[in-house]
Amino acid sequence: MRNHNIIILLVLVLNILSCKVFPQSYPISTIDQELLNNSKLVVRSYTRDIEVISQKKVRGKSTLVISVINENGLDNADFMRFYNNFISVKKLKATLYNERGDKIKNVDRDNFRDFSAVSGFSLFNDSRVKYIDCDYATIPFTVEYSWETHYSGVIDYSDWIPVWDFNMAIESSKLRLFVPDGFKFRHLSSGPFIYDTLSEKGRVVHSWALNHYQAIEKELFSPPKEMIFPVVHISPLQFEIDNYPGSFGSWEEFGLWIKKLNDERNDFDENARKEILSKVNGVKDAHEKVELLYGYLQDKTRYVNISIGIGGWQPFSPQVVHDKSYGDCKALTHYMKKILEVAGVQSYYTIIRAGQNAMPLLIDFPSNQFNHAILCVPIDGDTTWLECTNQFTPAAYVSSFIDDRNALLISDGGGIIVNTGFGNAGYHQKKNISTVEIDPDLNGKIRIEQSFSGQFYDENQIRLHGDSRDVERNILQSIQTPNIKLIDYSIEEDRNIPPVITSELLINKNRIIENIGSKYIMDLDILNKSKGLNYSNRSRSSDILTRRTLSEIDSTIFIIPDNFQIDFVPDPVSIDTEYGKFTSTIIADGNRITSYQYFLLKKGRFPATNWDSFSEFLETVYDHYSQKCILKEIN
Amino acid sequence: MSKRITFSLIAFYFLIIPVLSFASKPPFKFGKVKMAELEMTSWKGDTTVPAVILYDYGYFNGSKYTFTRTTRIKILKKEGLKYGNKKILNNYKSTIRARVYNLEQGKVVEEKLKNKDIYREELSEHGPFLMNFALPNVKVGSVIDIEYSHFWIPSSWYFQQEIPVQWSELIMEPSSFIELRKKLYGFELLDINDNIRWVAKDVPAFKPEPYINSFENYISKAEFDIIKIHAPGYIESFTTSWEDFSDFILDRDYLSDELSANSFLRKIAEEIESSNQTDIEKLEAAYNTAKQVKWNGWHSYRIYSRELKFPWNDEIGNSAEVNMILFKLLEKLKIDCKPVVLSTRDNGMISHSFPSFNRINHVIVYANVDGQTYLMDATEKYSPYNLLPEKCLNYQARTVDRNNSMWINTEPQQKFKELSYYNLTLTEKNTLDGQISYLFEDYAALDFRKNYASFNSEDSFIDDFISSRPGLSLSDVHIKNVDELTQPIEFVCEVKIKDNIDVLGNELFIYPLFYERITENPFKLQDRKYPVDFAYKTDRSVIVNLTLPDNMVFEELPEPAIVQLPDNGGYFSFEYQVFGNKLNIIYKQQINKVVFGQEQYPYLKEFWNQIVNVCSKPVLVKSR
Repeated sequence: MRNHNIIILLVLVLNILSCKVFPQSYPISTIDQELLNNSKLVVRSYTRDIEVISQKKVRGKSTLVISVINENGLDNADFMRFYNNFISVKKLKATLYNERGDKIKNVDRDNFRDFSAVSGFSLFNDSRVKYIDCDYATIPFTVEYSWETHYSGVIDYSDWIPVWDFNMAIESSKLRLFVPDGFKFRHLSSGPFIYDTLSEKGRVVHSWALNHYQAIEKELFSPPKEMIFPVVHISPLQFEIDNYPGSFGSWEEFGLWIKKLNDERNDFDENARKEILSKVNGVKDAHEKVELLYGYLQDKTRYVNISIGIGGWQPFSPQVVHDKSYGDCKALTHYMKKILEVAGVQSYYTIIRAGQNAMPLLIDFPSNQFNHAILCVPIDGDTTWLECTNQFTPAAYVSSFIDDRNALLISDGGGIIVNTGFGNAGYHQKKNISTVEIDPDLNGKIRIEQSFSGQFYDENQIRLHGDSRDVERNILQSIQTPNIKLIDYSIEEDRNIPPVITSELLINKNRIIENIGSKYIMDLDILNKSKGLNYSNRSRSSDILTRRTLSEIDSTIFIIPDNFQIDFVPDPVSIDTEYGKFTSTIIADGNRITSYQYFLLKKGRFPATNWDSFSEFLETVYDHYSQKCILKEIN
Repeated sequence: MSKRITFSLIAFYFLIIPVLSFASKPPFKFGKVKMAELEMTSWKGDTTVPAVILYDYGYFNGSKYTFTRTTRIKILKKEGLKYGNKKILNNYKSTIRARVYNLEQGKVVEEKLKNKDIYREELSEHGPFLMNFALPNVKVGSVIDIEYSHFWIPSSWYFQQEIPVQWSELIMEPSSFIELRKKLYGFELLDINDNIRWVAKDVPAFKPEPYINSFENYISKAEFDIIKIHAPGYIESFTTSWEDFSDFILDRDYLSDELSANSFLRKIAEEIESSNQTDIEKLEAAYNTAKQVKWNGWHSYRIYSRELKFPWNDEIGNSAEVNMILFKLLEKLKIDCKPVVLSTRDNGMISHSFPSFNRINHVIVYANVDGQTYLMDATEKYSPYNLLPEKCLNYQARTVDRNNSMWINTEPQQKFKELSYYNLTLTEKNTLDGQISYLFEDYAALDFRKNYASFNSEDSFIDDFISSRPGLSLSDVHIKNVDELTQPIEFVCEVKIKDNIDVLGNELFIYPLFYERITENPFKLQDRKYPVDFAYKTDRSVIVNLTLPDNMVFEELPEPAIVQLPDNGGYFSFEYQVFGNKLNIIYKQQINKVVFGQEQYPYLKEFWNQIVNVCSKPVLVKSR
């Protein structure tokens, strides 16, 4: 009993000693008005100290103080940190302060949650989440979190991102990295950070401070979040995870690490080999072999994501995939490589950052930037890319999930940066070729041949694979026009490169021609493409980014009833800007009106100051999709 | 509570001799796959489905108190391969076995799910438990058998799923010491509906449709409630009627907290008493006071804190805590009031004949002031005291009252009420200049306030507002009463409009309902299986005053129109008057019923067709 008292006393004394610095108070009233503009949250102070102890042992200490300005800021004020076999989150504390900056309470440990972070697409992984739902009735208020992060295996130190959403401002933030003398690492920052470095007692302290940073708003056509928000990337030159040491000295070296992990997973038994060979029996041509074996993979396997520990980087062995017929992107890609090897075709495992709008690879900054694997098959100077997690798309098709970006190909000699290439004008294309026959009651029978390629092919896969109700829903959504009835449809896929989904639709539409007194008006926009855009003219901060060159072609022939004559058709339109083109031609000939529109939006990146002309271009284009004719009844 | 039952049951488990054993044969046996099932290539009911559940068989063993579910799935297309991955979520730890059968060169090849390939997780401490697994060698054509068992009864059984079910059967054996009650939901007919055995055949896939409330109200399923547990030495009764349900809640002190509530709320009640005159003012003040406690996002019919003063002090609580603070305050203010329990819209309906506390998830407060009744929910920040939020509009609710428990209809008096007023003049540049003003009341005001609050500045709100209104530019925007919840929202601005006007050759056409035109029919699909539920009635009016320059006239105008839905379900009208170069339009659109049966779907679809037609008509303007 006595001993206990002494300990308690000691703790008290220590606490008092360590509290020499008065606790900082964070009243809302002291926030600068500039930082409140458009803000839902203000980061009052965010500090993180990372101490590198060895190449596989790192400690992080963080304190985050955020003020919730309005209700929209509540979700971002919650604490959420992932942990797994290599990263643990410790000594978590949370304290609430009211508007005046007075402490309300320490958040109860009852409110700390710890749950599985297995997301929808993943069947199982070891990732879990520490979560604190920070909630208090009276907004504004402030919450302070402090925690430690212990790394027992390191491939990176997580990027430093002091604002992680739009409408968030920063009062002050600082990242400090403590490394032993001579420790080598790379760093790269974007944003107005103040960088400093200082030597002390056998170690070096690097720091990045970012203060008084104003909130930015979400803007249309802007680059991905990661390219807009301030960020510091840090990558150690030497790392070690689960007893696998590796190097980010160069892409080559990192590639060797991946190769070593993959090489350990190479078993493939005789039966499996025989089965593979039987699929390409008598086939000589490498292209044909690839096509056959890719088809074999697509029929045999399915994508299932299970990753535990080093399994986040190391694939299942090909034998396991062969026996179970499933695997994640690494396992399926590695398996496909093995299959091709058995058939005598050389191929290369390639890692990539996938996603239709993914952030591009920082090629001058070798580090852990990947989330996907694909297979590169070079045949006679011609490169074929295989996406091994997709069971449907044809071999060699580079979808918008992986196109137009750098990736790291793993060769015997290590990693090599390669590019997956992009589709030119006409590659990402949407086409509607229609005939509209109008009966004497002014209702129309519309026959449309609709085709999608490139990004549009990717986005409409449900047409090929959905059940009838899903397909009908997708078709009706592509024709936003009211008062129609889908009579019949058929869907086909052209599996050349690029593949195309072609749909033949038969639609009845009421009242193609509207009368107003003795005047008859016909809206030529039967697919309701004129979106009617109205963009804001407020000043813009982020660049304008159009990821792909997209084109749309509409060609429609209207056949009007015999007792009508055409009184007026609109003049042709032709717009040509640095952002793209639009042309529209409408020709009347007897009882036929032929309407043709072509729209091209070019891939590009433009400064924010171009916003007015860019938005005007789009507004004008979509406005011109709405074209109307005037008809007259004759007897 | 379920934990306590479990313990006492386990204690008596071995003493009980099974009373009944059930004699019906299961429709299929785990692992006994038929050749026809392996050879099947599409499902007869719909050849486009990716997979079909051939059998789904649930069996509750009344003597062992275990539930076993055995399912056979046939994979028909590659998109169906995902049914080879499974996540099973349960409140109890389960045992599981699974097999995959493939036909390879005429031979049946069997694959087993290995125990090491099952990943078990506790989602949070003490469950629920999740089992994840991917079955090996699943391909197009595979037949999969999965069986799992756990202790205790299932709380529900879904006859209908996201893929079709060819044979769904559930057997709930009577047990010697559990008394159950079941309730059936849904729109698919059962083929066998016994006391203890239910079979549904060829059940189509469930696909949600627009304007439904919770899918739980539409999907075909059975739900079970325990009425009574009577083991030797242990008896516990549960709800047997809605009257009992009230007692059940009261007996367990789920909603009461007599001692502590008195002390901390007395002072607040006194303050309200002293600063307000009439009962209605006190009611409003009490409601606003309860709102100072923020709702933490959890619906409940139960106070979880030991005392109500904890949520009060923390300024946060679940829905029972927030609304019971309101109730206690009203009690102290001597206002006639009662707690009311209900099921929120997303949680499914409750039924008169099936008292079920599984379904109840929320508490609100009923009050009667000067003969006028109020239903109040202090968890909706943007509702005034006299407007019940949409989530509570689920047909009926039940007062909690020892001797006088009764049903209350939740259908509100208030509507979604919106008035738009355009006062415009045509200019020489073919633009329309003038003012627009909106008046939003009741549910329209609630929607507006919620939407407005989702922006971080008025500028962002305006950007969003114009983004769906091409050719509109605003200036001099005034938005009144955003924080005065009992007042309608007034939104007034000066405008310039470049859109909704077509110059075709020498003719000028104006679409006179401007941005209030309805251009899309919300009911797109040809037919409908489920009723249409709008939650509340709607009352939209648009008034347009359009003035032309002196040298111009209206040459052609569309026909006035009035269209009515059957049984006074609603109407719309488009009427106008011309005074020289001035046009005055009045457009009205009312929906007077909350729910329309699926048999009325064609009328609704046609109603909106007509609305779209009327909205698409322009007026023709000409120089004198």
